Amino acid sequence: MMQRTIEYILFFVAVVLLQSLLFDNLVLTRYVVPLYYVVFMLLLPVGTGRMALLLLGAALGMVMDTTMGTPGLNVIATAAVGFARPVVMNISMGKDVQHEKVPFGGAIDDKAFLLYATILVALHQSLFFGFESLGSHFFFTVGKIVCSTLVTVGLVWITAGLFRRITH
Amino acid sequence: MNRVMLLLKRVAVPLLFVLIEVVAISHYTRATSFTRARLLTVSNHITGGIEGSLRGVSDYFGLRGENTLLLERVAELENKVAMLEEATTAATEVSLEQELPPYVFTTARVVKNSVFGQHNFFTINKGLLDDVEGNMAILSPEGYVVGYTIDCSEHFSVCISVANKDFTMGGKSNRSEYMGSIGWLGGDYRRVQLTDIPYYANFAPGDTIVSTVSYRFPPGRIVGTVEKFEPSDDKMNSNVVVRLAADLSKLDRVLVVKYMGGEEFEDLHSKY
Repeated sequence: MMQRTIEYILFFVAVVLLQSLLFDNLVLTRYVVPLYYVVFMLLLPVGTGRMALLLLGAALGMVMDTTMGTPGLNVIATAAVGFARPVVMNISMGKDVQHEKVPFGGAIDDKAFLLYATILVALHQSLFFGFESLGSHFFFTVGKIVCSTLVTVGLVWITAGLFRRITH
Repeated sequence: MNRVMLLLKRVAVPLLFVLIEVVAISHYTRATSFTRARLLTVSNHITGGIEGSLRGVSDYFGLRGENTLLLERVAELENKVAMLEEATTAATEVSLEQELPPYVFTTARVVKNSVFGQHNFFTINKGLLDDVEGNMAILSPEGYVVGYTIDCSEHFSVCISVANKDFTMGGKSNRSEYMGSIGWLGGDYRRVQLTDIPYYANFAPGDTIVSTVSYRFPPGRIVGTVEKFEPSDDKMNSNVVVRLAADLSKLDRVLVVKYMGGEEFEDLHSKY
C-alpha cells in the first residue's frame, strides 16, 4: 500500500513535469493540444474513493492552472473527470474491474479500457476547450476537441501499456 | 440520526463537486490577463530553471542556423549604419522621431511559449534585476512586433503575446496615416485584426501594417501584411485582416525595448 502511494506520488510529479515541459511546448498543429496530465486520474487504483478522486482531480487541476496560467480552467475539467470516473468505469468495464487493483489490469478487455479512456478524455478536453473558447470559434473548437482527444487517448494507451509491463 | 448521516455521506461528494465547479468557473470567467500572468510568474520560479537548462541543450544543436541569422543581421545593420552616416552628414532637418526620447534595446530568450490557447503568453529569461519591467515592447530579431511584458519577477518576465485576446496596440498602414486598433479575436495565431479604420481609407492586400507612436512600441515596427480588407457590420469602418510577420510559434531570441519616456508618460497619465 505504502509503496503504491509513493509510486503514485512520483507519477503525479512526472505527469505534471511532462505536461508543462513537453506537451505545453509542443507545436504540432493548432488542432492538437494534448492535455496528457489527465492520465493520472485515469490510472489511479480501482478502489480509490469518490471523495479522494474528486479532491485529487481538483488538486491536479490547480497545479496545472498554475503552470499554464489558466485560473480555474484545469480545475473545471479535471475535477469533473474525478467525479465522473466511478460511473464511467462501471459503464465501460462492468464487473471485470472488481477483480483488478488498477484499471489497466490483465482482466480488463482492451476495448473496455479504450472506451473508458475515450469517454473520460473527451469529457476533460471538451470542458477545457469549451470553457477556454467560451462559445467562440465553434467548429474550430470541436475540431480541436476531437483531434486532441484522439492523440491524448493514444498517449494514455501507451502509458497504460508501459505500466502493465512494469507491474507484471 | 443514522439516516441523516447516511444521506449526508451520499450527497457530500456531489455537493462538493458542484461547489468546486462553481468556484472554478467564477474564478476563470473573472480572471484578467494580469491574474493569468501572475500565475505564470509563480510557476516560473519553479519550472523556469529546468526549462532554461533544457534550452541550453537544444541551443547547441541550433548554433549553425543561429550563426547564419546573426551574420545576415550584422550585414543588414552594417548597411543601415552606412546609410545613417551618409544621412547625418547631409541632414538638414530634424525628424519628429529624433525628438522623442530614445528606445533602449536589450536581448532575451523565450523560455516558455504558448500559441494554441485563447490567452497566449510567453516568458523571457530577463526580469527586474535585468532592468526589465512591465509594458516593454518585445520584438523578434528581425524587428517584428510579438508582444509586451506584463508581469516581472527577479529573473523572468511574462509577456502578453500578440495572439492574446487582451492584447491591443495602435497600428497603421505604411502607405497612409489612418490609424486603427490591432487585436486578436482568437483561433488562428498567425492572423490579427486591425479595426476602427474609416471605410474610405484605402488599404490593399499586401500593404505593410506598422506600429504607431506609443509608450510601449517604437513607431514604424512591422506587425504584418494586409491579407483581407472588408467593411465592418455598420459599414462605417473597415476591418483589416493582418497576417503577422513574426512566427509566434518559433519565438526564441527576442529584443526587449525600453521606452525612456515611459515613467514620465505614466506619471502624467496617473494625474487624470
